Amino acid sequence: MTNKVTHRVFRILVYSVMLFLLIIYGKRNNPTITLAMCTANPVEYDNALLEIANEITVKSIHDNSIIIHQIDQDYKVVGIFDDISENDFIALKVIFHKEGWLELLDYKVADKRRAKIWISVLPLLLVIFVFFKSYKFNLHACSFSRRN
Amino acid sequence: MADLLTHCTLGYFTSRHISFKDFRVIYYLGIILPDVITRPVYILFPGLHDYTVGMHTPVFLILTCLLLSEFFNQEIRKTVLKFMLMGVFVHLLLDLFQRHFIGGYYWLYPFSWHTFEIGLYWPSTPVIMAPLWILLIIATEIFFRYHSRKA
Repeated sequence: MTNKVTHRVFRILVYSVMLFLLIIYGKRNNPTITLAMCTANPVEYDNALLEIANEITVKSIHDNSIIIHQIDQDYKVVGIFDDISENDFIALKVIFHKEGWLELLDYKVADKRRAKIWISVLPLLLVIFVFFKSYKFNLHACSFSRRN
Repeated sequence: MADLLTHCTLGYFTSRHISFKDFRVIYYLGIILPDVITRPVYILFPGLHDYTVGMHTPVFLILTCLLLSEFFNQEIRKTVLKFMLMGVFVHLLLDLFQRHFIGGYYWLYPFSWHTFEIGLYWPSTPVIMAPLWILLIIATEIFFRYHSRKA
């Protein structure tokens, strides 16, 4: 292997390791309290303030509460909700209670979230298409080069 | 985050200069990169969200651009890195102006978990403007092609 190739492989390894460490560091040291953490240790997180928004949908609506769904789990949120529908994506500020229910402080419906996802797909596909039209991958050199 | 159409529209109007001619698509790759490496992960696998918290951040994205540029021919590697980083920068600049109900972006990660934003628009606002973005791009393309044909 030439020096240049060796250096390139070394750089790829270094960048990859650094990225991996950053991902692990983020997972381990994120100060945000999650519903999963509360569910796993309800006594420890009793009366904890939570700010949650990760893929939360409204499962059902009742008189003074709603049921939300996040990652295979349902949770009851007690509070007054206006202008909300089933299957809405929602962000919440709540207090977790050790019995497993959530007390609503504030909420926001993630308006047009599905539309946002769908209108992001077209430019993504376009960029990928134009990229592969402009560049070809050389397996031997393991690199992209411009097409003529 | 703003949607990718809004990000690409900003990319379109910031890449009109001739210097972008040969590497415009790399610039667009940089523009979509921050969302492409994070959103599909936690939309499709919400349980993996915690692994992505540090990814939509300047330090992570600079390293990602460095890594990705290594997979380009040596002659163009530095130029690819430059245009990709420019695209990432423009993406993050637009996201800085976004408003969050909760949370935000960790601009100083991994050195700090502090978030800050200018907060001019909600995430849904650019979605409403999508038809306008498309019209503006089409009108600009027609304008420049008509004038270049005349010249």
